[in-house]
Amino acid sequence: MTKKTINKKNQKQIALKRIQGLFELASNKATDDNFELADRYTHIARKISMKYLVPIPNEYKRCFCKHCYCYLLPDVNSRFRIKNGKIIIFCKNCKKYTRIPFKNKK
Amino acid sequence: MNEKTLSRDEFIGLRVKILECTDPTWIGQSGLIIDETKNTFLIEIKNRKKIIAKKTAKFEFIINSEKISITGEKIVFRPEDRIKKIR
Repeated sequence: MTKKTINKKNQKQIALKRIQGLFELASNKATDDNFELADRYTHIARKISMKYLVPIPNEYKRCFCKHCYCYLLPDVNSRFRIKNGKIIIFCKNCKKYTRIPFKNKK
Repeated sequence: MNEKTLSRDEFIGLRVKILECTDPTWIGQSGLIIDETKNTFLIEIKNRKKIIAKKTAKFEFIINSEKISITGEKIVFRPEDRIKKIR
């Protein structure tokens, strides 16, 4: 009996490639003022990440709100500030704060 | 790229042309895919958005100067399911 399904390693490679492509498309749509499609693309990317257990890369993790999952664009629907060694993100849609600590590397 | 690797890849953002369809007004039209559900594609043609069912048509994609055609019945899956379920 020959296998017809692809094995898990290839599934994860394809999933990672699709997640990266979807976030690039979402940033293009958001700068063109189309937030519904940008939210829909992040929704599909999150579903792929959950289904195939592939973590979202670090540079895209701060592009969406942690509470309402909408795509964030600085100074249009969010505010980014720094205070006391933390990055503070305020989402104007759900009106909630997210705090991310960082350390100075020397 | 062959037919199977393209069916597992991302369709959103690609240009598509319709080769065959049960509805004769759709034949020969081409556009950009915006969204995808289990049974349909949302295509933008000349600044208008139109919905086409996957089952009724045959699609053609151009990738890396290669023409690949896919029947719609083989890709009737949700976008996150397609990686696992295409045989």
